Amino acid sequence: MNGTIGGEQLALISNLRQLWTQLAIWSRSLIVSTAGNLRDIQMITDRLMQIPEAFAAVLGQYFEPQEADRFRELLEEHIAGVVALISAEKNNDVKTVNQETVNLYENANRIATYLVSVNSYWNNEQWQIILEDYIEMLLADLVARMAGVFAKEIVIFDDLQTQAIKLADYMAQGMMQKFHP
Amino acid sequence: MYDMTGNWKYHAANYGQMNLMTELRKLWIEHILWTRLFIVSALAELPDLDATKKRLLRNPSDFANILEIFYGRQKAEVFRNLLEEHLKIAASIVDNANWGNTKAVEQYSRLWYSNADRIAALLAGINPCWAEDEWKNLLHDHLRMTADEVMARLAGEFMKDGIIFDMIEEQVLAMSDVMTAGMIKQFDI
Repeated sequence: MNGTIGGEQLALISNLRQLWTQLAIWSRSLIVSTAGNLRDIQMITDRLMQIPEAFAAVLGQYFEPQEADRFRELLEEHIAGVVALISAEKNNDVKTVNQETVNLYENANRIATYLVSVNSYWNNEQWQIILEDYIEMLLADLVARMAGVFAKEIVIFDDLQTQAIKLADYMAQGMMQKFHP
Repeated sequence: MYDMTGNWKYHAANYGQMNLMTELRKLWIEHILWTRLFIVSALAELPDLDATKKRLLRNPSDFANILEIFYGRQKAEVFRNLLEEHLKIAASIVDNANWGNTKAVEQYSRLWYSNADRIAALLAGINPCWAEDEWKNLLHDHLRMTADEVMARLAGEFMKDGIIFDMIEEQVLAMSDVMTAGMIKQFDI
């Protein structure tokens, strides 16, 4: 067996992949339901808001409780921004769209800065790049869906899902370096 | 991952094992995700239905591409066809449920279970480490929950739909890990 990975690390990778993927899936579901005026918007928003808590539970197995909690808050901010942005895009509220877009990128930078401050195995610039790419894809997905270019939107979502896995693996990698050297 | 007795255990793994596990998990997640999105779009008659159905029907080919590496083209192709049939029957169930054709829903449901049993038989036939009964149970659970998801959305019970989808997700990951564990054992990965 050439190169092995511990059971606990495998669990960490799997759990983080699942959570980041859920973030992408439910964010897109909110886009779909908002664009189509569906009646499940409240359910999806509630479901999205469970994700930061689930992250905190996984991170809390490794980091100090207040550190996991701070990440939870930052991710809640991200989701609140996404929810506001999708709704503003639907209502053609350009001013709010612009404001929330700026907020999302600023929030991403705060997430990057915070994560690096609790784990020096992570790189600030790398976090910024992969989070910004994720946001960029999410915005492209939103615009494509609202414009009704569905085949294109599906390709964008496939990329978003891949990006979510990339975020998960980078998160797991830094945690394994710190906690399972 | 799930061991052969179905107990959740993350064992130490080599990278080949981990990659197979994560690849199959991704495909099974896509399987249930695009199924749900098809249900959402079909029941609400959204304009993305064709694009979504096309993406859903790519899933069996994605599986076949992985299985072909281990089982050769012919067996992978049989699996692809059966999984495609599974999805097409599911689509017919959703459409007929939406149109209120109870009788057609019942007929397609019978076909759906018989297709699941053929998938279980195929898998047990190509890998002695996969038990036919276990696959039957897993696939039947998958069908039952998917049908529940359709009914919940049709009834406008969206909180229930969300809860069912979470259960479908956990179940499909378990099913995926059974698939992985059987291949690891068979091919000594």
